[in-house]
Amino acid sequence: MSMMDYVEQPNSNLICCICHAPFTNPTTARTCLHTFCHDCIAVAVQHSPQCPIDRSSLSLDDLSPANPIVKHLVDELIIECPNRVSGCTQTFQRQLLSAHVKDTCLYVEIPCSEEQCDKLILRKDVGKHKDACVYRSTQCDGCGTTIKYSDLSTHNSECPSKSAMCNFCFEEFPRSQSQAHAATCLDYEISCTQADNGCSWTGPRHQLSDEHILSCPYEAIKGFFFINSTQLSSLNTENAALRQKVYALESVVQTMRRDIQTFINVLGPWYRSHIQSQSPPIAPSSINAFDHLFSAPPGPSSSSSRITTNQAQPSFSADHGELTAHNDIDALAPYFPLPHEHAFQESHNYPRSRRSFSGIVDPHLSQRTLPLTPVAPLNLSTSLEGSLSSLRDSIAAVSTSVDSLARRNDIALTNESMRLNEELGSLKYAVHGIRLQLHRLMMDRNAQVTGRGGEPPSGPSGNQTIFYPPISMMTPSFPGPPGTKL
Amino acid sequence: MTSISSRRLRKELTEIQTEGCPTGITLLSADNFETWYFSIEILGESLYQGEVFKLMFRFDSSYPISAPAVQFVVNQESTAPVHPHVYSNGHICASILGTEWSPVLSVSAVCVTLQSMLASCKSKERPVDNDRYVRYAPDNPKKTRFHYDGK
Repeated sequence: MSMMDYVEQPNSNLICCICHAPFTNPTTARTCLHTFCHDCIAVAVQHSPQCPIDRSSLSLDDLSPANPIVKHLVDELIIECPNRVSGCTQTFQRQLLSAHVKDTCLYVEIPCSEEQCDKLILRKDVGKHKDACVYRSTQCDGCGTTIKYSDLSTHNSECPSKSAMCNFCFEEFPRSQSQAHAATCLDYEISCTQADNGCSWTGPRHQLSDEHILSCPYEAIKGFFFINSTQLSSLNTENAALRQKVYALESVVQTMRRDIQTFINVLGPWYRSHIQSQSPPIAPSSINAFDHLFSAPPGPSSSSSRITTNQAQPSFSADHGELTAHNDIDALAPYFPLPHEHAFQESHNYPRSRRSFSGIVDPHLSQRTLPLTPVAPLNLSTSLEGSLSSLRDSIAAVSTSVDSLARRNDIALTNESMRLNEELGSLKYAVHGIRLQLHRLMMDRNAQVTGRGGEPPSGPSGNQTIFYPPISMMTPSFPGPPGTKL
Repeated sequence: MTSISSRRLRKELTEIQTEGCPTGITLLSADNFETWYFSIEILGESLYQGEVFKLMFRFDSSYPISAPAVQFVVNQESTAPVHPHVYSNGHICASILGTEWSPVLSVSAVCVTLQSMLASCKSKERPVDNDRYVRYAPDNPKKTRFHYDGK
């Protein structure tokens, strides 16, 4: 505790014999009952573990607070304010010291209440300082806003309500009117009205109209500048519009290019560049011919296309079976030979199945030996859609042809078996006649051998000669015994 | 100097100045709280009648918890008393200045003790090991570890 000045000499019984001052936090040793300031005896015991007065052994554990009476006696001693040197003349009980210094002593230095001010002021001077502190808030007498005193001079040079002076004519006016003044001041330095066009003259406003305009070379051709700038601006506008259009068109082109690329990718081999697409002019006819390969039964597929087929024929080898490559660029052509006109017609003749029957001569048979008919080539130079649809038609035609072929085969088979049955019946009949004849011959011979053959019974049998089959039928010899079993 | 020793010394000085020193003791100078000088003479019947000695007190920051360094001043003007416990360089072999020091003791108490030590002297002679001690003695008597024989 700091040094204190006591108004009266304290009772010597209240004096600590270590610090020779009235006890502070009086502490009594339990062993010897001597009393000291707490801090004094604590340090002394740490230095030498004995009572300073009677040298009896003593430790920190033997210390305890002194009797409250002692504490009250020393706390109520009257002391002078420690700030007596500064001017405080107050006296009070020692226990009130901290309260006095903290709250009431006028001679304590406290910090200024303004945050930015770091000065320490005696409490009694706080009021004075408040009026003098450079950080105090104050009001501008012009505009009335609240500002820090330290900012006042800066504010004064900016405050719109304060007067300002023109730099050119030295006239004074409120700052708020400075712009208006600048627009009218005759001495205000301005540039030429033709500054935009290149005039570099600057000078007081009154000189502009009085002197400069008369001599300014730019002013003389003011009309030209006006027309020029008008045209320029219109050109600029037009240019901007055009540029916008170009942008739009570019984006369109971009889109189209993308689309085209997509189509090219989709088309794959069907896509030909511009030059390649000028392929031989037979393209349309060949694809039409291809449409009619295997000649579907006459259907909606039009007589007109058949005409084109006929027209296209000369370009093919007319002989069926000879598949001559008619076009170098069409490698697929051999696989799709065009059907011969003849075959085309023949394909609808139903009774053609006799062909397999060698015994009957059919005038058409010689031309029907070729089942394979020429087919139109696949043409890559035509459009994909056309090719696809023609392919589809062709497949339909093929399936129809196959169908009709199957039907014809069925009918032919039936006819053939009927004919066979017929012939078998007639043969059976002939054999039977032969057997009867043979039997009669045998009977005749037996009668001759025995000498007396039955004359009358053979009479009716003579009628059978009418049924003799043709000579050619008798030629086959019977190697074995007569087929009596027939 | 820390507050506790200076406050204590200020109080002692105030006391000496207001109430005076014990008889035979005079404060010569106390210009600071580090070194004080006193003159001391033995009144009444003694071997040192008429002789005046000069005492020097040196305080450190731990006073009064630890003892001050006390010795007689030996120079052209003054000498140390011839005494079995006083070396010729002025150092004093007294238990209260060493192990027997107590914070309760004060400057004037030390003076009175030394006064009585001199007064009770029976024969004026130097300590037996005076020459050897003086040759190696440190400047500060507090750095000596005396062996107190109780005489």
